[in-house]
Formats: sequence, C-alpha cells, structure tokens
Amino acid sequence: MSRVLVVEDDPEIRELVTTYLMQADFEVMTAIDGIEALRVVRSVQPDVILMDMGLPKLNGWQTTQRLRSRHDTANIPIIALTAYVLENERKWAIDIGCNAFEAKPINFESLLNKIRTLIASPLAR
Amino acid sequence: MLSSNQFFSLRARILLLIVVLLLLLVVVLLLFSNVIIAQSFEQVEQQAVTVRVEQVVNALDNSRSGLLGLALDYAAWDDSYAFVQDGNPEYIELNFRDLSFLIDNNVSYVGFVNRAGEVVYAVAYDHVTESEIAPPAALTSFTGEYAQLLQHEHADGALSGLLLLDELPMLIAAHPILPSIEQGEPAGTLIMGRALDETEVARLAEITRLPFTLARLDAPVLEPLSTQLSTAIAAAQTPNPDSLNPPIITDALNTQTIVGATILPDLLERGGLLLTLELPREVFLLAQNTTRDYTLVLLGAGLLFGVLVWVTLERVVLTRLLRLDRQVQQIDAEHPDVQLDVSGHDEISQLAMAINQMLSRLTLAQLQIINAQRYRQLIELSPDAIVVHDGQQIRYINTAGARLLADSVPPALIGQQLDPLLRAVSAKADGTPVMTDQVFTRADGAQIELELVVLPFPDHELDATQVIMRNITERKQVEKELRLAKVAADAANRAKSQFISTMSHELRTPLTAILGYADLLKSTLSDADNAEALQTLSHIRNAGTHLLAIINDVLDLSKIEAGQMQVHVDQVHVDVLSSNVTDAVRPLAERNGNQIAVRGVDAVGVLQTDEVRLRQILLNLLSNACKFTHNGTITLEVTAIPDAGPDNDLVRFAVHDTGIGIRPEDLARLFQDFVQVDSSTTRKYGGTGLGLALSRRLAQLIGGEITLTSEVGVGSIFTLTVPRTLTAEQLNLTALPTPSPAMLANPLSSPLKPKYVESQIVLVIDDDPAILDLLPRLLAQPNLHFETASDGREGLELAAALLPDLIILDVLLPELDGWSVLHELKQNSETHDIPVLMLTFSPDAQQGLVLGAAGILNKPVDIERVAHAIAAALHGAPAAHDLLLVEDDPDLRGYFRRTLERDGWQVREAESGTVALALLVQQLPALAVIDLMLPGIDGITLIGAIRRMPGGNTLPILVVTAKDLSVEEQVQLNASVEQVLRKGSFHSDELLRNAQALVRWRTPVAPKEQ
Repeated sequence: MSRVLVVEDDPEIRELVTTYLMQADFEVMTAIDGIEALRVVRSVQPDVILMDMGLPKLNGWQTTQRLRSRHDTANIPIIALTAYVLENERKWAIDIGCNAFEAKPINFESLLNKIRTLIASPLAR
Repeated sequence: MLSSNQFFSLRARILLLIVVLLLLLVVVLLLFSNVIIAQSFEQVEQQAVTVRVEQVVNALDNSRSGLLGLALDYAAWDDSYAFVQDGNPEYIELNFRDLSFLIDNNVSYVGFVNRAGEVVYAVAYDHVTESEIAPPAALTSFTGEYAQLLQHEHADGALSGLLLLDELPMLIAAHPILPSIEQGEPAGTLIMGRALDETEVARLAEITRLPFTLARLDAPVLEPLSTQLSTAIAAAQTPNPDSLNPPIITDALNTQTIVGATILPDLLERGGLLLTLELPREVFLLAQNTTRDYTLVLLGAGLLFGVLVWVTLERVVLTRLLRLDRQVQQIDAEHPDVQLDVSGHDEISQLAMAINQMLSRLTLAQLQIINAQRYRQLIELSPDAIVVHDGQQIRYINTAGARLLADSVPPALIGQQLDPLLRAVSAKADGTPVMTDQVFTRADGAQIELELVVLPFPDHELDATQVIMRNITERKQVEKELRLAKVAADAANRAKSQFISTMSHELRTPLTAILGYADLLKSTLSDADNAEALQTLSHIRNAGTHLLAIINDVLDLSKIEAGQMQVHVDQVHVDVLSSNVTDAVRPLAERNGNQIAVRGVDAVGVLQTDEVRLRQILLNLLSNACKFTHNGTITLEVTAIPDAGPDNDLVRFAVHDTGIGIRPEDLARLFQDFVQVDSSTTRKYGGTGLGLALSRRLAQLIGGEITLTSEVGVGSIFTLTVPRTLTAEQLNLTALPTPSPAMLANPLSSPLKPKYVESQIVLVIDDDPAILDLLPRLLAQPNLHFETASDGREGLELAAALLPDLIILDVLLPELDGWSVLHELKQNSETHDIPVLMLTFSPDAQQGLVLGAAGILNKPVDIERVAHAIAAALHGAPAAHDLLLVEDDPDLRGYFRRTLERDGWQVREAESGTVALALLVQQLPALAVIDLMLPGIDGITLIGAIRRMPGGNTLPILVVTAKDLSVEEQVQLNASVEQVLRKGSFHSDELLRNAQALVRWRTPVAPKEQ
C-alpha cells in the first residue's frame, strides 16, 4: 500500500483529502505545517507528498526546497495541492521542485491520477 | 582711388624706364657701332686707295722697267757698240730713220753718248703732237748733275727712274753700251726716255683704269691740294726717312671723293712728281648705308623688345597686381569672409594666398569676436545664475544671478560681498568642475536649494572662480513627489497583486471543502431513498461551481485590469481548436437539445496568437449560445479576411444561435460587468454575468474585438475578430493599463516570490520559556523562521529533522547540557556544518569556540547583539569595513582605493566581474563599489549575479559609472542597487559619504519594534 503524506494546515481539507485517499486505498499521513512535514518526513518515508503551499511557519515552497536539498528526501515525488493557482504561483511550485500541480478546489479524479502516475514512475525512488 | 593712381604711376614709371633704357641702349650701341664701323671702313677705304695708288706706281714702274729692258736690248747690241764708236749713219738709218722705233715703243727720247761724253746721236719725239722735236736740253749736254746718267764707266751699271726735266717729267733708262760678248770697255751710254706727257698719263690711266694726275712739285705755282698732300706726305715720310718708297697717303676730300697721293722721286733727287688719285668713296658710302640699316634694325629690335617687355610685365605683373588691388579694394571691412582669385604659381599668387589667409584669419577673428559677444549674451540671458567672484567680491553676475540671489540687477551687486556659503565652495585647480547642492538663504529669508557648478575662472593675473547656480527647489520638490508617487504606484501595484493572489486563495480554500464534501457526501448517498438529499447536494454542488466560475472570471478581469494577464503567442491550429471547444460545450448543448455545427474551419489554417485566451473566449461564446438556445442549432463559423488591416490578415469566428435573441436597447449594456439582460436570467439560465465582459477584454488583449447582432426570437450572432498574427505592437496596445516602470524593470516584483523561495530556520534550544518566546517574537521575519526546543534531546531531534541554518544553544540545559548537545551536533555529519551560537552566563565561555561553536552570546540576552550575531552567522559575517572595489581602470581604481583607505575602509580590488565574483564567494564585503563598464561580465550582469548569491540580496552596492544610462537602465539600477554616482561629477567626499551612509543604513537583522 502506497503511503501519502498530506501536508495541509486547513483541517477540513486535510480531512477531505485523507478521506478520498483512504477510499482510494492509500495509506495517509498528515502534517499541519512545513516544519512538521520536515520533522516527520524521514520517519514516514512517504511514496508521495501532497503539499499545500500556503502553510504556516515554513510555506510549501520553502518546505519543498528544503526537502529537495536533503539527499534522503530529494527524490520523493511532491504534488503541489494549492489554491495559489495564479500563473506565477504555479510556475514557482514547479521551479522549486514539485513534480506536479493540482489546483484547489480539488478535482480528485485528476489528483488520484497524478498520484498513481508519480508512484508508478521511475522517479519515485 | 589714391592707391590706384599710385599703381597707374607705377605702370607709367615702368613704361618710362623701359623707354629710357631702350633709348640709352640704342644710342650706346649706335655710338659704338658707328665708331667701330667707321674706323674699319676707313681702314678698308685707305687700304683700297693705297692699293690703287700702288697700282699706278707699279704701272709707272712697269713702264720704266720696260724702257730699261728696251735700252738693254739696244745697248748690248754690237751694232750699237760699233755705232757709238764709229758713228756710222747707216745704223741710225736702219734703226731710227723713220722714228717708228720711237712711236712703236712709245719712247720719247733716244740718245747715244760715247765715252767722251759726246752725244753721238739723239732724237726726240713728241707723242702729243706726233712730231719730232728737239731733244731736251739737259739730254744733249749731260752736264752738271745729268752727268750721273752716263754709265759707261760701269760695265755692269744701269740706271733708270724718273727724271724731272725742265720741259717735262720723263722716265729715263741709261745703260752702258757693251759688245754682245761683253768683253771690253763699255763704248758709251745708251739713254732712252719716255715722257710722262698727257698721252702717257692717259695710256697708263687706261691700263690701270685709275684716273690719276701727276703734278710737279717744283712747279712755281702749286695747287693748294697738291701743296697740302705733299706736305702730308713729307710729314708721313719724316718718321721713316730711310724707307725706299715714299709713303702713300689718303685724304677724304668730301663725302663723295677721296684722294690718294704719293711722291714719285726724281732720279737725281731733285724733288719729285706728286701722284694724285681721286676716287669715289664707295666704301665710305657702303659704310654709311650699313650704319643706317643697322641703326634702323637696332631701333626696330629695341622697339620690339621694349614692347615685348612691356606686354610681359603688363600681363605677368601689372594687370594681376591691379586686379588684386581692385579685389582688395572691394572687400567690405565688416564682411571679410571672401577670398581673392588666385591664378598662377608665383609671388603674386603667393601674395594673393597670403591675403586670403589673412582674410580667413580676419574672418575667424571677427567670428570669435561675434561668438564672444554671443556667448556673453548667452551668459547674460542664461536662465542659470552665473557669478564670477575673486573669493570675496562679486566680479561679474548675470541677470538671472542677480535675480536669484537678491531680486536685484547686476550693477547693484557687482563689487558687493558674495555670500560666504557660496564663496566657500572652491574650484579645483585642474579645471574639473566641482558639483554640489547647497541650501541657500536669500536676502528675503526664503530658503532655496541650489545646484552649484564651480569652476576656476582665470582672469588675467586674478584667480577668480566661476559659480553656476540653478535653483532646483522646485525640481527637488517635483522629484520628491515623483518618487513618492512611484513608491505609491509600486505599492498599489503590489497591493493589487497581493489582493488578487490572496482573494483567489482565500475563496478557493472554503470552496474546496464545500465542493469536496458535497461530492464526498454524494458518493456515500448513492441510494434511491436519498433522492431529496441528493437533489440538495446537487444544488450545493452547482452553487459552488457557479461561485468558482465567478471567482475565476473576476480573477481574470482583475488580472487584465492590473495589467498582469500575460499573453503567450504561439501557433494555433484552428481546426484542432474548434473541435476542442465544440467537444467541450457539446454536453451543455445537448442538455438543451441543441445541435452544434462547424463551418469553414479547415480553410483557415494556423493563427499566431494566445491559444488559452482564444479558447476561453470561444468557450464563453459557445456556452452562452448553448445556454440561451433550446432545441436549436449553434454554429461556429470561421472565416479568414485577407488584407483587412495594415499588413495583417484577420480571422473571424462567428457564433450563430437560434436562441431568444436580445433586444436592441439591451445590446449596449450587454458587455458591462455583471450584466445579464434580465437579472432573472441569471436564475433561469445560470452564468456569472461576467462572461461577455471578460470575453471582450480578452479579445482586446489578443488584439481582437467582439461584435454582436441579434434579433429577438430569431437568434444572435456573436462575432470575434482577431488578427491572424498577434504582433508585439498590438500586445503593447492591448496591455492595459500600462504596467509601472518598476514592474517592467523587474516583472517578478510581485512580493510573493522572494519570501517563498528564501527561508532560513533558526533553532533555539533553551529551557528558559522567556527566551523561547522572546527571540522568535522579536526577530522572526518572513524569511527567517524560529523553531524552539526546550531541552537537549528535543533540540538534537529537531536539528536532525529540520537541518536548521543556525542553532542558538543554551549551555545550561537539564539532562543533556549545551556542550554535550554541541558535541553531538558536531559528531553528526548532517548537522556538523550548522553554525551554533552558545548562550551562557559564564563570562569565560570562550572554550566553546574550541568545541566548534560559531560564537558566544552572553546572558542576559542583548537582543541587538543577538540580531547582529544571527545576521553575521547567516550572511557570512562581513567585516565592518571590508569593501570590494570593482573597477577596470587601474588609475581610477588606485585613486578610489587611496581615497577609501584614508577613510578607514579595507579595500579589496577586482579589475573584472569574474575576479569580483571570486572575491565575493570568499567573503561577502560590507559594501561593493562597482563600475558598470567592465570587461567580460559587465556591471549590470555582475550586480544581478550578486543579488542571486546567498546573502548577496542584502549587500549594499554603490555604482560608480561614466556611462550614459538609458531610462530603462536607470530604472533597473535604481531597483537593484542602493546608490548610483556619476563619474566626473562627484567629489571624493561624496563617495565617502555615500559609502558610510550605505553601511550605516544596513542593519543586518532589524529587531522588530516593540
């Protein structure tokens, strides 16, 4: 069972995403901010990270950057899952190291497709 | 005119001179030639006459010798010998009887004298009268001196010559009579005579063809001419009395006749006979003619020569001189900017050229005078105040200056003391202008800001200073306002961007939950029993979707309004696009029972435009049509319109529907924001009411437009017309509103990016809750996050998990103390490089440095020091006065270095951008001074690179440049560096002041205000 780390500060959305992912047979771990994401990522060893960008403490871009700069987390696929959907904001997410972008409100069908694609791709590990 | 006269007189004088010289020459030549010719011709004449006289003398002599010969013949004849002895008359009978001998031989006298002196026989014949005459008396007696004629004493003697007889002169030949065998004594003397009478003279004249005359010198009455000639001959003979022959003299009687004369001496030396030969002066006349001809030729040649000389002089010199003079006369003293004609290559043309050069210089000089006047006028009328002072008094001030300083006029101020403030700025000796700004208090108390340019003004021996002043009070005010306006505009722009971003995010977040949970709920209620609940959920879902559409449209509109909607031009295949959009709206169409048709798509081909925007518009128009049409047909018709606009084709997309149509009075309102024809339609048909307005804006954005024709109950046609190729010009035209310069200079000046990208984490490990609370609260910044741990274990765990950029570690911790934590951090390869600042009460905690701490901070905490320590640890701790100087010119670099070092800076030098970057990586300086014109990496690129370096974002940069900056470059520089100084227009003071100010201004991590 693939493991997904959901980094999301909004509890409702965190819950929503968790529910959908669990329905789709994923093991779901959560973190509520960038710092927690950094703290748990090594113990969780997720197959995919869903990263909100508008996070407290360290935001999604900063967290992604740090994850990418550490050798033991550099290769974990990250999907930006955010309501920051303006062109620049999308571009920065990809530039900073996210593998895919999914806008909020969430099209779960599309999101699940992306997760599966990334897990299946050689990039994961 | 005076000088023209002088020139004329010059001409006259030269003419006169030529004439006089020629005359003199001719006269001298004539004189000389006359003398020479006359003398030579005289000699020739004398010689000719002498020769003729000699001819006559010779003729006489020939006659004499002939006579002598004849006498010899008869004297040596035996018959004569016998006769003279015996006097045989037969001999006379035979030889002399009929006188024929005398007549034939032209002999006038024959006498035979015997040894006794007795005349044996004598006969005489007068050839004039042709009759026998008595022999002359002297030749019958031979007495006295005539006895010398008898030669019989001398056997070999013979005598001949002229004998002046009393009767007439006669040539005489006397010869001793000898036997033919020449033995024995001469028997006597034979004497023959030939009278020089008229006949003989005429005969000789005939022979010689010379008409000579003979005159006896012993004649009682001598003609005067003869006397004169004989005297002259005697005079001529005197110097040389031994000469045998008497001299021949010549004497010109007149111009026609010359006479030659000589004396034929008497045999018995009793005077002689004067031979006179009168001849015409042929030679003399010839000489005269020659002289005349020669004179004429000479005069003619002289005249010709004179004329030639005159003409040559006239042509070569005088005419040109006069023309030069005329041209010079015509030059207007006020306008010497003319040039004389220069012809030839000689002294005159050189003179003309010299005059031309002089004229040029004169013109130049006049121009300079005029220019000087103009400059003076310019200075006088200059709107800038100009003052020349000697350090104390005003020496000169222009009108603007007088008005600026004291609302006065120049005469009132000249000589007055200049304000000390203005005097104080002294000029540089090397002439480079000193530029400075100065606040000046006028006489009326008003404060004005002045821009000063101070220059040395050498004025004779006086060391004066020129001050150019401009009142920049207003300009400064305007600049300030502009700066404020720009700041405000930038802020407003940032606020707009921020607003759009935030609104988008904040609206989407709840919608995510609403839509997500609605869907989630729906999926769990897939039961027919829950039909009502499902219906309700559908309403929630629809409302949410509608809200999302509105949000999207509003966002798009806002972005267009803010000028932040970006257009990406690319190839758009119309057939692909149209099938995409019709596929997308087909479900919507089918919901209302509509058919979708497509026309003309294949013929259009490819557009160059923004596909996303074009698709958005088409989708909007099509979905609109679908919504307002029931059981009808929606047609997308695409038409190419060639050559419709200037150098661009257009493409028209028409969406026809067979829907309800729109009333004419509603057409105009239709494109306004949030307008539907009837507010009830929103409820009935759905839609945001923004679609058409947005579509129209989007159409404008890609250079197109939307028009509408409609008929109520029949249908509507929405027509989008776009250029086939979207050009840069159209992009600019459509990008409304114009983005501010700051945005142009840095398109990503949106406040979002930097803070997201650059973040640093500081981990504070302390058991004191106050510290854990205080430090983050006071020092946290958007890019600087503080994480806390209250004991060593937690600290180590967090450090390993977060890999913070800096750790602040308290020494006194429960359980695991700070030193142990430090030790462990240094043991771990991941955390080994993280700088650690130790917090301690101990004053001698320096040992921590040995253990690997980056620094020691004493408790109680001084928040400023902590802030500096954090900044130093994070930014590579610039030394307080470390300055990087980037300048390629070695002289200027040396000058800057000396100037800066005097002010206490430690200067590191780089001659190129590459070297600068290497030095920057080693150690970030406190300040960088950068020249823009660098070899290789130029200044602007270097600055960009610095800004991207870790910590380079906050490095103060002072740009020093001689480059003329374009507006864009200035804007870009102003956005990226702290200060720009123009080379050549600033003082070293200014450099130092700015350098100090920039470093003071920089507070590495500013504590938040409490």
